[in-house]
Amino acid sequence: METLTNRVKALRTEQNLSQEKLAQLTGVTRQTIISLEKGSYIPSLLLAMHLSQVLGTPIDEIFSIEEDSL
Amino acid sequence: MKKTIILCTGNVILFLLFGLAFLYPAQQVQQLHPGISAGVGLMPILLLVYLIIFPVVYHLLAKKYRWGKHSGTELSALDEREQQVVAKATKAAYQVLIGGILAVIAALGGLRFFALFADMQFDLYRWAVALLCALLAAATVVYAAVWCKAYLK
Repeated sequence: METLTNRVKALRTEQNLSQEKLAQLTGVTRQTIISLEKGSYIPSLLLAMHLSQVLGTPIDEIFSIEEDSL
Repeated sequence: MKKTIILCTGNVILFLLFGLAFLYPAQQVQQLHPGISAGVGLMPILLLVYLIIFPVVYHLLAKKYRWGKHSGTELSALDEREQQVVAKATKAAYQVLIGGILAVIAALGGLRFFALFADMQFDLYRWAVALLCALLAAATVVYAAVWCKAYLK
């Protein structure tokens, strides 16, 4: 099975952004950012593009597909 | 999450009061010849008071916690994840309601049938109001529980 992982937390802390601030800049709630960082929520392409814009990182460097070894 | 819990709690209380108001609408009912005499019961008055108080309390809380549609706080129309959360909770509540209505119809039919054979008094109106209001309250509790679980995931 494949899972989508992301580097949102790492990139956010690199840029000294709080979850609240990132949520504000991307137009979602803080809880959505929390779920995203935990990996329990897969964002829409629109949100992924907003994150890419705000974090100044291409989408494919934020998100990657990992193969589960099951 | 506060908003959903408050709204759902408010709705559960409303459904229960609504049911009680229709179960006990009058007090001191007296049979006159001709007609009847009765006073308005306590439950309809409580329902009326609640219908006035709850929107005011909700409005004040909405102001305090800034529950605007576009405020970026919870239940923001802009938040795609919350739309998914709402869809999940709505589906669960819908399933409870549909299943529950079928169960209520079956229960009412069964009770009526049983009452016929057992030669018992069966007040269809009272049972229907009680069961439907309980079902509405149960569906609301399910909605809130699924909403909170999905929101915190």
